[in-house]
Amino acid sequence: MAKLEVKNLSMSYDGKNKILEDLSLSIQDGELVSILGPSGCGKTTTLRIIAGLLKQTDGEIIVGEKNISNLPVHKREFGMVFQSYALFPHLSVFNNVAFGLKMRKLDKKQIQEKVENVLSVTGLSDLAKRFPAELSGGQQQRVSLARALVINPQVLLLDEPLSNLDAKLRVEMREEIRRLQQELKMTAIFVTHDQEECFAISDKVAVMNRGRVEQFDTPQAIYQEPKTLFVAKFIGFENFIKVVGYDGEAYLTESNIKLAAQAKENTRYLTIRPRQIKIIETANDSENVVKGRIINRTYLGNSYRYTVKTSLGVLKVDDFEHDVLSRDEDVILELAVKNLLPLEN
Amino acid sequence: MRKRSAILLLLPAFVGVLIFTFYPLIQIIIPTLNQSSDYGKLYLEFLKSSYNQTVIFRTLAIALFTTLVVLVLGLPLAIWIARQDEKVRKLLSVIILFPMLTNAVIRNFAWIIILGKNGVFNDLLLKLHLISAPITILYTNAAIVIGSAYLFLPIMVTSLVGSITELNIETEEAAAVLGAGAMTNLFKVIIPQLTTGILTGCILVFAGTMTAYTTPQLLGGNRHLVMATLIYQQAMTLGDWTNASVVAIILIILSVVIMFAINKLMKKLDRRKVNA
Ligand SMILES: Nc1ncnc2c1ncn2[C@@H]1O[C@H](COP(=O)(O)OP(=O)(O)OP(=O)(O)O)[C@@H](O)[C@H]1O
Ligand SMILES: [Mg+2]
Repeated sequence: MAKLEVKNLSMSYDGKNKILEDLSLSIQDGELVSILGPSGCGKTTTLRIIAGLLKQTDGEIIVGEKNISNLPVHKREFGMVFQSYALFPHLSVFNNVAFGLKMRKLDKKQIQEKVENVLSVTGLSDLAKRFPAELSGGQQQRVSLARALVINPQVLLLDEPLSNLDAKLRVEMREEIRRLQQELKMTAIFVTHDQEECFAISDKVAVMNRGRVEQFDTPQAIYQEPKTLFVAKFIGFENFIKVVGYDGEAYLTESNIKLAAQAKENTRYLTIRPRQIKIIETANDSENVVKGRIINRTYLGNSYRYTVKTSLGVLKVDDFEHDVLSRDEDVILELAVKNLLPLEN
Repeated sequence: MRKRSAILLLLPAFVGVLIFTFYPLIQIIIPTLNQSSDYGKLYLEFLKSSYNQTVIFRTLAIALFTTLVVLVLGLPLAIWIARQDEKVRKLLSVIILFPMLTNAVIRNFAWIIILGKNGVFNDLLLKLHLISAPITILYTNAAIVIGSAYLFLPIMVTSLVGSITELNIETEEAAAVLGAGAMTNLFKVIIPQLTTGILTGCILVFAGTMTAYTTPQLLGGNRHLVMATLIYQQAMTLGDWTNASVVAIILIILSVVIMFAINKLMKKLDRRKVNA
């Protein structure tokens, strides 16, 4: 129903520390975008500014064609799920969910219908008469979700809405959120710590670090081609090779070894996944080959994880193919050009 | 063994409290018991008198009005105080208690000066051309309400500030996101969560006003007796201790019944918010 644009947002609570710095996001109509990032990086702050609960120090928020940067919170008509649920303790589950509809002055019959509908979708029908204090954490979280969904908002903001559910319910609920979001064509922002969750549910992911968006891309692109050291670390890359220069054909590492990889400006590190490093029999003349010695071995079920000391530094290697190798054995590793990714700092 | 000795050690204090609580009460009842005839009749006769009915009604009405006035003034004040930074909040909480540290008589004399025919209040109204001649406020029911409200406002505010600081501010934010403006938020979200604090404050103010003596005596004068001043008049001016004790007992019963009713209401409302 509406495209949401966040332009050059800056935020400081005390006028000194910048919590958000020049943060921009552009979310297409009906898209679900996840904000992924470590604790304290400013995810909740961003969401609260978009909702209108906090005033940005600088920057604009635009929905559709309308600049809503100065619109008060109760006129924005967004749906929001709070990290701490924020249910109304004095109202029953039914009335908690009905609150937004009453504000919109719907008639009783419509309210009854819509609330019952959303309660059944969220599996809360039997709890309609209970009060929040009489619910488990997971149930409270679902009430909070139902309360936001029932008003069918043009923009839905979710602050870690699944963090308190057990693994199974978590997967069910995230699929349910995704289904509803697509069905009702809501533009949504989903904040999470959890990579798997965010990859599974989103059209796009914004990885945040210290108040900035490090990368804003599809889940596939984030997973396969992280752009910065932070993003790569955050989504599970483990091998980082520091580079000091590029000679037009290959990167020069700190240890004066040349590694060929895709040329990119501002490259500070090269990275490669452990299972993409090949253990080869004989050193051929191909590029990116390095010798090393196994210093540790761990069994991972379907593979062995070797820790190999090389002149590039210590590398983690996952091997599925070879017979098990032992400690102190010398190996030759190949870091294929196509798998070696350049990273900015 | 230890428990028993603890009880033994507590016994003197317990007996002391018992005596000092109930002895005066019994002393109040005794004059009505001394009347040889059946004492139910005493109460009936007292209640039948239209003068006495007026006094009882006035007592309740003044207590009710004062409670409402204090609540309406105290709630916004308490919300404002509770929403300050912790340091400022603590300072304001102490300042608000200040009126209670001054002597009741002095406090009421101040009001006599303010509310009198040539008082500050009338001066102000005249200067603003809201009235053309001084109006009578002193020695009316209104004066008693004003004086009592001033006296009990700190108690209400203190009781409310406690409740408000415990409130989860995110519930207000959630309501705002769902479309509630400031007023809707106040009446649909904030106040309903403050029932315990509001009722506690109301009990204290109501019971306090109903039984207060100095304020109605000094600001109400002789023509606006309430039960407390009636007791004094009966006992001290007329020397009729029997009648004084009848009024006293009716006053006690009324307060207890009202407090009991509000307590019941509180328990019922409390079920919903076992620390959500
Ligand atoms: N009211 C506030 N006053 C001052 N600083 C604040 C306030 N709220 C948050 N911060 C700071 O702003 C930063 C970002 O906080 P925010 O709540 O946005 O993090 P988050 O990414 O949501 O973290 P989490 O994953 O733990 O929820 C943190 O360093 C936090 O300490
Ligand atoms: Mg957060």
